[in-house]
Amino acid sequence: MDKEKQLQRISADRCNSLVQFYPAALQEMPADAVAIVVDDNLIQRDTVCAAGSHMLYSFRPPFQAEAITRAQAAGYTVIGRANIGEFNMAGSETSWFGPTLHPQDTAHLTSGAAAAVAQGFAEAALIVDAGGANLRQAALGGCSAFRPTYGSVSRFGIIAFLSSSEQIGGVARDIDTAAALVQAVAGHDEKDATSLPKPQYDYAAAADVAGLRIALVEDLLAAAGAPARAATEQAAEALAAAGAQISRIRLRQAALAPQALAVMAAAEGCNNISRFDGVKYGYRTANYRNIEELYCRSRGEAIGETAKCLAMLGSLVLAKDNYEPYYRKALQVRYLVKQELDQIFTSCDLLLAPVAPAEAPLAADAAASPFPFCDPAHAFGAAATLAGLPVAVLPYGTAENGLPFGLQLFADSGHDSLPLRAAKALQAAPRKGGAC
Amino acid sequence: MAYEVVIGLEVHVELATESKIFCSCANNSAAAANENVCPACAGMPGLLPVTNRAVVEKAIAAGLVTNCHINRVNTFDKKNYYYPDLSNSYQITQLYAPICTDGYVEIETEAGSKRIGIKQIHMEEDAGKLLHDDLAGISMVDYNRCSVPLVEIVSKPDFRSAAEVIAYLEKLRALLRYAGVGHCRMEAGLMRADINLSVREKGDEKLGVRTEIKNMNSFAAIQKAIAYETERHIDAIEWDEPLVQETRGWDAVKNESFAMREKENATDYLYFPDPDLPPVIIDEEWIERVRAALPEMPDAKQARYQADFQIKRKEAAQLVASPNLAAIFDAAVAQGAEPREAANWLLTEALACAKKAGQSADELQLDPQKLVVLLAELKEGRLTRPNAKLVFAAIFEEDAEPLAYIRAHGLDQVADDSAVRELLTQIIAANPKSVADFRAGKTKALDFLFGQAMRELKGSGDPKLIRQLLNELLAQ
Repeated sequence: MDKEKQLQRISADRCNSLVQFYPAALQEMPADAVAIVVDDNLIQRDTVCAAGSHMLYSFRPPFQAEAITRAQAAGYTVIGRANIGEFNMAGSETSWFGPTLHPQDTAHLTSGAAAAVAQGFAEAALIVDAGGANLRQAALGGCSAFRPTYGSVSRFGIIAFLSSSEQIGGVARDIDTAAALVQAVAGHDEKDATSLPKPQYDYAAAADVAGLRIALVEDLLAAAGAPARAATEQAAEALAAAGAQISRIRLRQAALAPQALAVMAAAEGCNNISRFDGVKYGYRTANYRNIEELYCRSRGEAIGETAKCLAMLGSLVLAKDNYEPYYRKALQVRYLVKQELDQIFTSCDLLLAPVAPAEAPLAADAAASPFPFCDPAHAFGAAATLAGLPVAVLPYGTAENGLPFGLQLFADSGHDSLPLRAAKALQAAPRKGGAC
Repeated sequence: MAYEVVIGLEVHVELATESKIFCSCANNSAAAANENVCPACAGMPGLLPVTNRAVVEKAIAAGLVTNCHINRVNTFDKKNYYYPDLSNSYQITQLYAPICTDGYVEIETEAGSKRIGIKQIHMEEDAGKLLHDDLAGISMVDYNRCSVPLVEIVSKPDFRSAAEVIAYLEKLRALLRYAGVGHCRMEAGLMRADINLSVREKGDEKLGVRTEIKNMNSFAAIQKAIAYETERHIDAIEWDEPLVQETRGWDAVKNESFAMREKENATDYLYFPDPDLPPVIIDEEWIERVRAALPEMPDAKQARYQADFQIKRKEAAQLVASPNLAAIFDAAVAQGAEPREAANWLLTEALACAKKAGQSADELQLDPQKLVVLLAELKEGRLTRPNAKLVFAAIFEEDAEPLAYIRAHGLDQVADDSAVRELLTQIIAANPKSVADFRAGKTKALDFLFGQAMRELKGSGDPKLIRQLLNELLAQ
């Protein structure tokens, strides 16, 4: 597409996909470069990095996320920043920049990355997945996405929310493009102590599932609505037709993953945003007489309801008398979830489940609760997130209103090519209901 | 009624590492405000802590010299509180798995020797500093100290007097300085103590109500604070008034403690394990490597000085109190200096010169080789003691070469007794009255003649030789 037309389309975006757009970067981009957008919580040198929050509306960091630097070195050009929920704690409806609307139906919501990619503004997006929510939004937004094993991509330069399990991934219209972007940014980084020393960085995989043992996660199927469940069952049939062995499993401890993840997200979210105090950078209230007022009013005025609720919940679960029954318990659950999944992966290669109970949410429904964990979709990504597993998602099947459902495929840590193989196979397989 | 004070200490020591604990900024307390600051120190999001292994080594060394158990798995925790000098709004510390546990330090007081238990030592990062300009009504923040590595050394409540507290702090300071853990300069805030104190009736098993006095940074203030707080507790007990468990500050101007604000006492720090920092695993080999690199510790050194060199206990203790002084002494002795003479010169002349120059024993600089040459000249009788002091001052002040300086200033002892004989003969001839007085039994007359000779020789005469020759010549 010619660049002028592209520029016009992006400028006229009715979905609020991007919080910043760099027309010059698009125009001056070399012919062989690939245009990408990055989530607004990925730090980029000398540009405002707000993480969807009024609190950081003027924050221009003097350094850059390792993943962006690596992407640029590999020939990707950042042409804009994608809208996310405030501090990436919830959906785009919590963004200071306003919600991102679904390109297929603007009554529904999606993420900035998904909307930008689905509309062809960029070939791919570098996202930060927290709790599976960003992957889910990509798939329900009509895109494929891949999140590698925790520790594969440096977290240096993420405006952190869920440090223990958030991981950078790629979004694109097909899984190959998403995986190629992740391939370009993965690798050990000494600036991140949790970066894997020798991870499996090879995400090139054939669309081949012959002999793969794939298990449907019954619990998540049961939690989904009938149409989304049916779409997942169809995917299982398509995989079986391509040579995979399909079985079904039930989770025991892993069924507690959503609650444990909620506790950890609240605690870590509370701690990670506590540095935004109005003292050093970003928003500061105009109206204060002492340091307490400066803190309270700056945060009171510039932080949204969801982030405030999450921070309060975080303070609650970390309080002296609650630490043992809540936070420590969550850590124990995480250990048990990993143990159970380890056991499951001795007898199968991949797990298959819907990414959400239904299609992308209605904007009107999203404001119902300030707690992201009250969204039933939260439960779908929890187990794989807590265990730091590699996940591929893709749109699969269509709801009555024409919006896509999403599938997720995840494997044991370090076996990143397995979900990619299956996603590619599904992408290539003929399907009922047409392409999304 | 007889009371007993029970004290425990929490001592913070800044570690003498090249860089900070979780970023690569320089750890240099002398830098200009906000000079050693990176985005991480400034509390920006996006930065991740990476543990400096040198910090772990210093903490291991601190544990070894205080006879602690070194723990294998080390985790870090976040301690949350809001204060403008804490740029991240949390401090990374070790709550759940401190690096060292269950040690002790032997102290000596006039009451004898005693073992003070160490409950634990943990690693943590320091916070920045606030600078208040009361005239302009503004506060400024210096983040240089953000993420400077610290160890906090927590004692058991084993102290029963201020004297024991001071003896412990002195001992701890010496141990940590020898081990290269930190410079421990209290006046510069590199070593700070929190005092936990309670009072009970002597013989009681149960502890009284405990108060904590925070951030003490001088021995004098610590002594005063313990005395003040002990009195305050006893007074409350005797009048049956309530004592509150609380954190108190010390007002060094009024010389009294004061309750800190309710808020600071009620803080819940919302501790939780830092998800950004994987555990640091310490194996036996690492511990042994640190142990092997430790120098001789002050106790062993003092015992050696006393036993091998017959240096008196007090002098030996004075020498080892400063690792720098002890190092100069060891080097001088290794190069052939007579130990007692070297000790004497270091403890008198060297300390006096340092004091004059406003330096502590740790700061004074002296080339041991030059001291060795000076002492040899003195021993061989080529230099008088008064002149040796002049030469020493020149070595200290201008790093002079002793032999060259002696020659240049004509300080050589006049050893050739024919020249001295000639001079004395002249003096005798010129002072017939004194000679007559002497011969008449007035011994004072000899002192006059001796004084004349010394004046002529400008101090470079050997007094013993001159007296001997004078007696000889007058007897003729």
